[in-house]
Amino acid sequence: MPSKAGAGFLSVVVLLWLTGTNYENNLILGLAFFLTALFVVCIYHTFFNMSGLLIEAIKSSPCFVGDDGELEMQLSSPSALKRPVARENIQLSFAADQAITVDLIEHSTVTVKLFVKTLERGWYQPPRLKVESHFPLGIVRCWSWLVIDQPILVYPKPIAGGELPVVPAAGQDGERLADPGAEDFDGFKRYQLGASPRHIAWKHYARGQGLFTKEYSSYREPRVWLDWDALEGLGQESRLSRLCYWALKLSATQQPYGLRLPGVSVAPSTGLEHKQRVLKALALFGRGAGRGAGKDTGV
Amino acid sequence: MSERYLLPRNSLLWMVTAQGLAIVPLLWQLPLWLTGVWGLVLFWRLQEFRGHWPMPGRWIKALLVAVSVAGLFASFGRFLGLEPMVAMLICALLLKQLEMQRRKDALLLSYLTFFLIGVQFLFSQTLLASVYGVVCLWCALCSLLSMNQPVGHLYPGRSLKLAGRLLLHTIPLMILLFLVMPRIGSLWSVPSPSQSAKTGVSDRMSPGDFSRLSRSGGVAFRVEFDHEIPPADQLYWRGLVFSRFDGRTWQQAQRWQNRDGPSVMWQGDSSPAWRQQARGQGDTLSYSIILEPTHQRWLFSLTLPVEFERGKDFGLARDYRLLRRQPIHQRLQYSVTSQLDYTLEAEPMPEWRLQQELQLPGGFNPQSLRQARQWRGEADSEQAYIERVLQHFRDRFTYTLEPPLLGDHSVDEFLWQTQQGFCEHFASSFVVMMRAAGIPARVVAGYLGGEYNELENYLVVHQYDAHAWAEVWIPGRGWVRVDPTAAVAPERIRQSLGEWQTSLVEETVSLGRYRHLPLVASLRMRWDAWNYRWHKVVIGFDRDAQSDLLENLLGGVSPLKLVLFVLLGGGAVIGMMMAHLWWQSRPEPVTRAVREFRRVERLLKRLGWVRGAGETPRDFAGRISERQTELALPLQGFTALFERQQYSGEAVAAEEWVQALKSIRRALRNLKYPNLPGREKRRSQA
Repeated sequence: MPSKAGAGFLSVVVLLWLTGTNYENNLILGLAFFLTALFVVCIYHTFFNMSGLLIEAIKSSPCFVGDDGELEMQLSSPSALKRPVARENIQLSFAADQAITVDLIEHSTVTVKLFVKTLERGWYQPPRLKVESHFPLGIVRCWSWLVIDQPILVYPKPIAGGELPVVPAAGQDGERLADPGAEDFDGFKRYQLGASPRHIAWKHYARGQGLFTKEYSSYREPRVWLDWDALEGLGQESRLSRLCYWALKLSATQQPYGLRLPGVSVAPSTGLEHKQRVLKALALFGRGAGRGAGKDTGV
Repeated sequence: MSERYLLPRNSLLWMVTAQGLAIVPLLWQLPLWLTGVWGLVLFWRLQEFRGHWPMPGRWIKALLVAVSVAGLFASFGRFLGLEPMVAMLICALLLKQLEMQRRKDALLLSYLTFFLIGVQFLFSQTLLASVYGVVCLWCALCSLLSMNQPVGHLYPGRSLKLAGRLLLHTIPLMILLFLVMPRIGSLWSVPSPSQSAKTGVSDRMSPGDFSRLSRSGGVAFRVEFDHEIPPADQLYWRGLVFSRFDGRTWQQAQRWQNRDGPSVMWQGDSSPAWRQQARGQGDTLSYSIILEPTHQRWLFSLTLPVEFERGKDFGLARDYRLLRRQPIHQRLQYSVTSQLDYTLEAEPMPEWRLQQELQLPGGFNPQSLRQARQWRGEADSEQAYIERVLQHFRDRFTYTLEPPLLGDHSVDEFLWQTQQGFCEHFASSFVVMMRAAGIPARVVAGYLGGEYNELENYLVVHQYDAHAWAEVWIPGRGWVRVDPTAAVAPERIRQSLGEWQTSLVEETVSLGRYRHLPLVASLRMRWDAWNYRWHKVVIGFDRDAQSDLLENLLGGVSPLKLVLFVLLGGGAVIGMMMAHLWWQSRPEPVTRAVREFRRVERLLKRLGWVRGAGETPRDFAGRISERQTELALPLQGFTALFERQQYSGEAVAAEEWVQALKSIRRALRNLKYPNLPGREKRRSQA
């Protein structure tokens, strides 16, 4: 398709043709014909600049509602030749205003990150991706729409507020855990081979009471269950937002926490993987969508 | 206002180069101060680029525009006309440079450069100009291309290479268009180059004119004869006839002095009475002339032109030379048929004609007039008198390109004192001597001879071949050509000045100057032959040539044939280009290993196993094997085969592929139907 610049180009051709015809000047006519032919040739050059280009979504990174979801795309141009097939000035864009320009000249594979605005919690299917090129002369536009089969996981928007949504547990407040690194003295224990000499109760040994080691332990914080039911009176999304907020808060400390949603529960734990599991559960609550796998999409 | 668009550095460089190249040939036609504007703009651009100066403000821009417009008006005194318009275009282009704010501006500049490349062909269409135009075009393509290359500056040679590829891909299609696109002819009248210095023989002749002309250099025209080329002493190319003399300068007769019909017979007009007074005899001689632009209206031909170009713009003047309605601003090709043996106005002349051809200004050259009357009295006949005068030339005179200056009585001084002159001195004084003796005579200006180019079999007539001679009217015989120069310097007739006095007529820096070197001589001939061919094939490709060519190619032109020709030809050209593009970006050939792997992928997909992007076959197999241990062995076997062929390059027998695939199938089937262990067996029995 001729671009706007292409229309200007064609008007130059018409102008030259008129000049050449009126002056009966074959060279000017020749120039007009050259530019006309150039336009036709450009259509093919622009097409071949994009044809054979392989665009794959490699992975997506999760984000919170309202943030920009990140998609990692890989552009490659497989070639039978030793050198890569050059492809220049290829623009990828979800929206008209933010296009990313990719050039494949020396490398046959390039990875780029695309950002897309997310609006809803759950698996977010990115809109169609516009792949566009004006190369080589900017007078012809070639474009294609890609459906990206790489949904982005969107977490609920964290909203601060309210008490820690826990339901008081029926059992003991906490468990006492033996922990050799802890500081509180707990009692003595008969020596076992391999115990640290620093922990041996040398005073007892000196009294001839035998070899004992000193035992230390710490009290762990009680396990926290972030509970859906603790947020009575709020709507579904508000509950999820608050749970999300507290999950983030708690994972910043080293405290184990669990999540209880109607029909879903995540056992208390710590760590990054646990946090992601919790957030995913929050994101997908009430949306029974399975995760689709990334898929190749060729242009 | 939107944010300022920054043209990539390399693109800017290309643009300035392309523009510079396109402007340079036009500068010769335009006022000198434009060069100053150009320099200023370039300097400002440079300073701006280096961050020293800002872009000019609104007032400075307004001032620059005002100054330029005033300058244009001061130089031309008008705005309509080709040169003022071109100058205005260049001014706009240059000043726009200082106002490049948006991408749109850069595009506009780029397009204007294309247009400018076309404009330079209005002034010159030689082979050199065409080659130069291609170079300009290449640069302009680079500038447009690099605007679309965000990382173009990293690969400086790349734009040039890509633009060259575009150029080569485009040329075949352009040639096709050039051949078949109909030529419509002028749609409306357009201003012609008017400021250009008129070149060649002019319509006035004063002493010194021809010797100046002979040094002006360049080609006047080229001639191709249909058959044999006549001998050199017959090649008197007649261009102008001078009958009016004011003591110093010769001019053509006034139009109103003709009393027997129109002074010019244009093609298509009915034949006037005077046309009957010219009769050719003997063989006809057909030739075609490619005239370089003279910005004058007369054409050159051998006497007597009996037939000539059919166009309505061509005409035969009362004195039997060819004319064109419009001045020749571009190379012009025309064909003429002449008869060298002729009788011109043998009938007795009417009184008014005699007056015209015997006219002499009063009070000039008294000594010559006296001498003429004396010699005429001594001679028995016109012929004897003519011989007497020629004898005088032969005895005393020298032929030189550097004659002494002459005063008021130019003929007297030349004939009796200086006695050194060039062709115009001899012709002028000879005619004065004839008229003084009562013999009607006139001066004829044109060219003599020409240089034969054997490569393409044509004659080149140079400006230094310019010549003036005389025609004398003898009762019963009509106008007879007499060349007094031949009496003085017979070698001039046989040889051109270019060969005879090379150093005087050729510029220091020219091929012609060194033509005594064999290499230069052959190069010079070859270059001229190319130029000639270029004109014949390309510049002169008009409507007639087009229809002839298509007629030959297609065996008769019909709209259907034409459309088919365009479609097939265009299809072939585009097909070749596409093949080239495809070949350059052809995808990897799919190997057997890849094909088999895809098949396995399809099988696994049915069970919901999909390979992730960037996952290698080995990783994929490993991932599945962890979950489905039954598949581990067959997949492992397959992957081993795949890697053997794809990465180590070892051949894998077809049998092995079949076996590997079969074992995967079997494992999959067992997964699907765990209760049918004997299925495979039963099937093989059947």
